[in-house]
Amino acid sequence: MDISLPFDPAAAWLAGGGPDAAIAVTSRVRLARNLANHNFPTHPDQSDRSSVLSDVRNAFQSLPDGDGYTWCEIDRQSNLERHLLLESHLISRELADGTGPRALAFNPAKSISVMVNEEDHLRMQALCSGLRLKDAFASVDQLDNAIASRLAFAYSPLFGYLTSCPTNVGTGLRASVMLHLPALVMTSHIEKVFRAIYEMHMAVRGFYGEGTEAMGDFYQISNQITCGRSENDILADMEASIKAIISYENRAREELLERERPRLEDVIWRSWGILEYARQITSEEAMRHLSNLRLGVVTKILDSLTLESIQRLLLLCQPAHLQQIEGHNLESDERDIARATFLRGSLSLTR
Amino acid sequence: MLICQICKKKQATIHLTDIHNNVKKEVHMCEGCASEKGFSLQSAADIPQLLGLASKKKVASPQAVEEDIVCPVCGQRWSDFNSRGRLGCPNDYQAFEPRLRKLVESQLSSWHPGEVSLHSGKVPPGAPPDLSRQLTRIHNLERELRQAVEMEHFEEAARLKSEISRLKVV
Ligand SMILES: [Zn+2]
Ligand SMILES: [Zn+2]
Repeated sequence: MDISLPFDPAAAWLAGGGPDAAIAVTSRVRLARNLANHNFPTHPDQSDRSSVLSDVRNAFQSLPDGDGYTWCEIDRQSNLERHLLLESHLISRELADGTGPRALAFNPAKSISVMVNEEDHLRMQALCSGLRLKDAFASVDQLDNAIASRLAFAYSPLFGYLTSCPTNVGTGLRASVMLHLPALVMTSHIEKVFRAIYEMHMAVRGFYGEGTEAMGDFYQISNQITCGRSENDILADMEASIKAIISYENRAREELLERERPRLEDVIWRSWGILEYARQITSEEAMRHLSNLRLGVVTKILDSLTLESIQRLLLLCQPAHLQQIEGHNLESDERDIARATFLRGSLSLTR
Repeated sequence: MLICQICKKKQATIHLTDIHNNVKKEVHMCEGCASEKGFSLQSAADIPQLLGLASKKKVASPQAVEEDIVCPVCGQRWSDFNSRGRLGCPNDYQAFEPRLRKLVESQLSSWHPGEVSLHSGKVPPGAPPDLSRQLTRIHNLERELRQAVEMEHFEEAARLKSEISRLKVV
């Protein structure tokens, strides 16, 4: 059941699609769980980590064969492999760059992944494309039930599921939707949206989760409050707020198309030009221009690309994936050259 | 766009939430300032330091004289939690119950302190049956009922009333 790299990035969510896929790139629901009678992974004494790891591994091995989970011990992977998993949104930066015994389990579609010994013993997440929080919850909920029948979770009737940080206590549920909001950025409405998001008790996180940077007008919106309400109430609230943001972005897109079409076309075609002709490009710049191409695809200004192909380019031009394609380690400036070459090649194929 | 709280110039792209001295704080920084402050994502322990930078004065607060408590199971102290922002083991929730309860309640904007249970979500199999959840539900509905009556939403009030009496029978 151990992972064998080279890592294949094919994940179900990459195909795109689902409700509101033009704006909602992915929906993710994560449940934080801890085993009863063990120190949290954040305890200074790390001696419980190995026994937690083997208990969880046994639980996964006893799941029906058809579930087909791959088990991957993160502390045995190379730096490159860990970052491939991070860029594929299967693990967090904290797990990738952490220390000590820690692992990842994921299903064949890579739609469900479980981090072991991150901040909590288990962080189970389901990821799918489009705005589909309920679907994501349903699949992670099912796995949670299967694991709960094999391992005793730390739980109290008063606090709910007990977590290493009290900001996750209760349901342990964190729902996030990755939104692509270029029109709100272009029309300078994004700040208003951010303020509304904070008022609605949600947080804006970066591209790779908490504490990471937002890139290319992609913003991850997630709930702040995890207790006092049921999972379904939290998700229904989130979905309503996200839908409001989506309609706001849609209106901004329509406005741009109606009143400022030349400006919009210029932004999109310039980005195409840069990506097709640049000889050196940083990951940040590439994401910014790919973000504009994505807007071009959904507004039908560009017809030679699909959402899926953009999503694939966004993933493959990240540092670790790029090095995986090239087959060897690259320094930062070498990566910028390789990235430009890769993007040039990919775009010229579509013409 | 949120502006970096440290340089007050660039766009804040790093957003941190942490709990320190019973208070939940948020810090928004640009990447440059974050790395200048030596912030690494690996150690949550850096966050209180950063928060300390945001508000330098450390006046004696009521919390400063708060008696320290130790979790008998894992040895974690309440003061450790205050500085690291992370608990040591599940038993900490029992060892520090009143303080954690206050803290968690303060995160809930629409919460009425002292309600029977903070949790109204899923329950793992084999967990002891919990009457307090039922009580909490009734509690919440009664509050909604009072609000509905105040707002003169009588249809809603009637619906809530019948649900409350149904729950009370159970
Ligand atoms: Zn700054
Ligand atoms: Zn403890």
